[in-house]
Amino acid sequence: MSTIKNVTVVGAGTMGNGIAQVFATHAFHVTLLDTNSAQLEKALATIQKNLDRLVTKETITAAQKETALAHLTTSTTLATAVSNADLVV
Amino acid sequence: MHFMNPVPIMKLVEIINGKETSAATSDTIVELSKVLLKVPCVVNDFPGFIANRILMPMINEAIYALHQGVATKESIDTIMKLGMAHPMGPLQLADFIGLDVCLSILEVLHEGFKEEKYAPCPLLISMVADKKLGVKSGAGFYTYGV
Repeated sequence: MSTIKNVTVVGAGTMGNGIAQVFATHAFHVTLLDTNSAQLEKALATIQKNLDRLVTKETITAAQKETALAHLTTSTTLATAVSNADLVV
Repeated sequence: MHFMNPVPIMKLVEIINGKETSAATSDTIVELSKVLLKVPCVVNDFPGFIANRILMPMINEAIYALHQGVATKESIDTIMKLGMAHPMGPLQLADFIGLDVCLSILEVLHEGFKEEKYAPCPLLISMVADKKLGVKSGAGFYTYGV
């Protein structure tokens, strides 16, 4: 799996934010794309909340949470978001 | 890659091979899914893949049974939970998925296969028209605290 490092997730709804969270937790560089920036903010808040819950349940450490969040960026432009992508979901 | 909701919790990923998908691409995505600690299952590209093709007709049939007065919603859900060891009944599950999402998937199956067995139950259609969408709208087959 060494060839896939950068993953772009198209759409920051229910599925998109979950998919972004799972890839980011496993150290992929994730770009979450949505045309609606409010939706992106909502998605990031949801991911943060979900990761916080995992830390509380001691499923992941606080450091793992920070690493996951550091692997996550957002974009509202398709062309920019996929320019460096190895995989688009 | 077809993930299941909620993505961080559900282990399954359906890997959909289109007509042009190479074995190398499919294998790469299978291995990638394992890196994510998911369980991949390879499926060819047909409407609804496997998960929704089997789940949605079951949910639709449960709605038809309710619509025709065969049993109460509680009985239908309890029968499927305890009788088939499903974690939740089909009507409760439909509420969680969203009735608009269920309707839309059934329409894809109905359109795609042109078979009447996939036709959405009139009760489902009217509930969606009435904005009774399940958990997210506060009411579907059951009501939820908002």
